[in-house]
Amino acid sequence: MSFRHGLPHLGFGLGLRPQHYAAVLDGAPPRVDWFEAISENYMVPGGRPLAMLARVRERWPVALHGVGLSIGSTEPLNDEYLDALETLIRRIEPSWISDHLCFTGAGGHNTHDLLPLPYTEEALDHVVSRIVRVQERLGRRLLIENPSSYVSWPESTLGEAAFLAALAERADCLLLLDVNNVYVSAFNHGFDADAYIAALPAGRIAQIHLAGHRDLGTHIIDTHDRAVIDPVFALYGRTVERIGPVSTMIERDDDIPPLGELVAELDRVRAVGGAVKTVKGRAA
Amino acid sequence: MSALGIAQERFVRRVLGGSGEAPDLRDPVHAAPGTGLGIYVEAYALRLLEALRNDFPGLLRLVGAQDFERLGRAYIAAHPSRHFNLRWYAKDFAEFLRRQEPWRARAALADLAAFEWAEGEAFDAADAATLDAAALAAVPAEAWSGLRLDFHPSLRRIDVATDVAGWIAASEADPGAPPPAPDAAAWIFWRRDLAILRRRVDEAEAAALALAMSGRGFGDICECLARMLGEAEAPMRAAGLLRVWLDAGLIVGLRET
Repeated sequence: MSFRHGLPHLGFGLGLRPQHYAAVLDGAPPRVDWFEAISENYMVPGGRPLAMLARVRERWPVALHGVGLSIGSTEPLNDEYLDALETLIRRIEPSWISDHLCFTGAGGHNTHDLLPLPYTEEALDHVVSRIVRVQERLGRRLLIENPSSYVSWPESTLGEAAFLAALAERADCLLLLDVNNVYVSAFNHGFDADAYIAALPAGRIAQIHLAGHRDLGTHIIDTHDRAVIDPVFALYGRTVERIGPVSTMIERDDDIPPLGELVAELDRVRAVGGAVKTVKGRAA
Repeated sequence: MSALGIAQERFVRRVLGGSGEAPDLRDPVHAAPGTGLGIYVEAYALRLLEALRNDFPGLLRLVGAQDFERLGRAYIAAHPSRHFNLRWYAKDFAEFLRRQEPWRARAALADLAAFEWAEGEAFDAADAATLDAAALAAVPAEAWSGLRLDFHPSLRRIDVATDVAGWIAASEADPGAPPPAPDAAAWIFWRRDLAILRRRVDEAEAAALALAMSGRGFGDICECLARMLGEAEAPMRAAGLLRVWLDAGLIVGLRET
């Protein structure tokens, strides 16, 4: 299957959170097709986190989503990080692994945040070379996610979507499209969200993220602490209409509700993301 | 350094609360100047504070939210994060509280932090299959003196000066429980299956464990116990401790040397 470069359509998933271990594992299986696990939460020697993840993996496909690769950093690639990630990959055999277009630190310090890069040719060359090296080391393509951001760099010569498109082609990597991040950054930086998504190479978008955010009037913060809002659902619907069905999941990282509430929200995602235009509909 | 590297360093220095030349950044189009960078600056501190709150819920209860934020922010200022994984950010927190004014005057703070960090380390230490008492039967008599013990990777041993265990139990029932009273003791923490266990150990067991965990042989442990308890009691106690450690799932290997 050339579309999505051989990666499967896993359906509709949720972020795996420790608060939900019991609900996921001990009762009737929830209506969740797959789970995404935050890589760093399981890059530990052993114990309960890995035991729970292994149990989930026995029953569901799992994708690993990183926040600490720092692919855009000008510091050397972190071997300790990559060793730990490789160990986790061997244990879990994930469907794929992803991380963000960002850097997380400099000067030996880590901000634990996803700091945006200037979108210049220099940065593009730099990130492409690092993705290529990581992919060679891990023996698989990475999915790179568009970040949400609250600043931009005046020296940028490319838009973020054009940067990602060039990056994906040159590094031969895939994309994780965070529709909420597009919505957040489009508001913050004043670009058109639909045009952004249209500028991405559709065939390389292998996963979609959805999440809630906090609108402060003058800017939006990507908080992942509430439900996905209607305009993001609408943008997601237009995205799927444009690029076809894509494995999609909801991220919830704060004010985490009971699993059932997220499953109900996922049902709505399933309804939007699973609806495909018929031939008749297209002709019309 | 490349232009990209310089830009990244300037950005990160500011996010960590430092000064120096500001990065040239554009704010959200509708927001006031400085809003964008301010979001990252505050998010850094909030993220680390949240990590500390998650790792030290007892300490948070003991000092209250306001003081916890004060000591947390002091730690953050003194210890900028250097590891990619927040899991390890607080590894120096207990030591910081033990050394730093004004908190060093309250030994219970560092004790409780050490207690909770040890529990956390036991929580996700490496897995290992434990031995049971039957393993002792295979040890030839002549090998006992040099016998070394491999402990479960989750085993942690700490010394505290206050009764933090008593306080934890009391404060769970009564949030207004008086702070931990002085009570010097050694404690061990370990994981069995997925449960985290802790136990107070007496002076002799603490000394024997310290030797055994540092790789000394069973003969050295017996000599240590003989000095502490007398020649008559030492052999029985040494054999008893070995049995207790095996029963508790603390031992994962026996090495004859």
